Amino acid sequence: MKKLASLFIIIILVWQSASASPLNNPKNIEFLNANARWALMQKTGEALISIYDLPVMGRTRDAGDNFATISLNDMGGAAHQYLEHARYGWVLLNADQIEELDETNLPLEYYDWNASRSQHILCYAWMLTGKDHGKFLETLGYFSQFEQRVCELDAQKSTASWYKLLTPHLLKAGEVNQQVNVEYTATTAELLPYRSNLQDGKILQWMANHIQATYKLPHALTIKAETCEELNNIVFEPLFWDAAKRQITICYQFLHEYDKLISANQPDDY
Amino acid sequence: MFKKIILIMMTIFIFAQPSYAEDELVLTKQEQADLIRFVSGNTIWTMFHETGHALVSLFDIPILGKEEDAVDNLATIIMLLQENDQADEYLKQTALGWFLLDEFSDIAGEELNFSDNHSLDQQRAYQTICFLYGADKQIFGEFAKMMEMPEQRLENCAYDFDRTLESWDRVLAPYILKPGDKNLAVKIAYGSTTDALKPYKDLLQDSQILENIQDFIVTNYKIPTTFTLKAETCDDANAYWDAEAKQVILCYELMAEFEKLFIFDIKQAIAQGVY
Repeated sequence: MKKLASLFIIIILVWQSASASPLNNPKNIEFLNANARWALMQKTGEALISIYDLPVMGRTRDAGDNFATISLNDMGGAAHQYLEHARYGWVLLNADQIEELDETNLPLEYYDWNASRSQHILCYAWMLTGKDHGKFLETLGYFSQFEQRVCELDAQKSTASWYKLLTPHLLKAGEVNQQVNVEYTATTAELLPYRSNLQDGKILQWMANHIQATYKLPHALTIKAETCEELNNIVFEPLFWDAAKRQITICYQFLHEYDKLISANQPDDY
Repeated sequence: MFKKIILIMMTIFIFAQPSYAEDELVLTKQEQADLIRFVSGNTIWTMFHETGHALVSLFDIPILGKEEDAVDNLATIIMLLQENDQADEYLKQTALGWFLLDEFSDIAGEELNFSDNHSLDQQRAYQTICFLYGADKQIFGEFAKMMEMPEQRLENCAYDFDRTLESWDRVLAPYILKPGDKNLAVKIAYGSTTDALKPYKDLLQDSQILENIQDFIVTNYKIPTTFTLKAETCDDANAYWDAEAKQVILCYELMAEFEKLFIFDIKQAIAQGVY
């Protein structure tokens, strides 16, 4: 009887969890997957900087942001939608973190990155998608004419720089390349839907295929999804490039976080 | 990497009275010296920042992230590599300047502009301090602590500094002037100004800031075209690289703005009873 009761409780919990999960909502899945793709592309930019020893005179993460936006723009089609979701993801992350501002004494520096990054990505996405993307244009009310011009020049400079530095490393026709492996580790029941989502959407495979088909790699790489340990007093990085392991890791928690964001903030017209 | 320049300021010039003081605030001789140090330090750093834009433009240097951050870092690196106490002090004044600008803007009710291509004032302050600490924690450790730089950020500063220095070194290497190379001229021009802004023009000329930067450029880099370092009245507190005119412009109004920040700091301290 006890076993039956336990089973019943588990069924109820799983059902509640499933019904509360936006993973049943195609729009939310689209948002999660687009942000995962953008984030993986961003880390790919950081990985390429490391692999080819490219010079970075500012922040590596900004260079990665530019790489992700430029690359998704180049892909065109659905990738332009990924940019839009990524931009909205940064806006939500920023709003979420600003709420914490009153509760902590951490310097502003810890909080302004998301806002700066959302604006920066928006600026680039608007410029690169041909300045005719409706949703970007609406939000561009925040940009003065002068800022739009500066953004345009900035995006042109960064795009030309990435092309210039990556051209020697592009895979030539007929060349054999190193392998980009994909790995999904086991996870908890809570995070299992996100693992399934990544696998079903072939998100890691999409990233691996792009890298392997585009860049001449000096060694094999791995793109791994896993449950990451969250340590106290250390800023949690749900996505990272490990140069020693030659590995890009996306934590299942990354999707969980975006899941919570979109569930709590979904506007009617989204 | 870079040849050293002489950043010995000629502190013979003394402001008679702060131009922006709204009420009677008579500065002591020490405060006047501090004011000159603050204005000079921030002006020198700004000019190296704009010179960085000029180098990026003239040599078509690839920038993968934000150019503004890259040239912020270059200005700090150039001054750090002078390895003299005065340059170090000017860098501290620069970090203080960014904090003061942030505080001043906050009190004036200005909202943070996240869409600006520059980093935020506080970020620029912390980034400067991070590089100082990263370059030499013995010299700048106490300063970083005094500025309440978070420990967690300090851990990566040496790596960030070394990586950025190495990157700048690499991208500028093809343009380093070799022995026997003939170079083109970097010109200097001082535009006329109003009586109110004349003290800044005098300070600039007496201190030889532009001449020092000119010397730094022509002795380090083989420049592909002549360009000008120009100080002028602009009706705007600004400095910028004009790629078409091939001019690095420093507005006298920007130096006045630095003075205003210094006076603001003293007034804040008086108001808070800590002065």
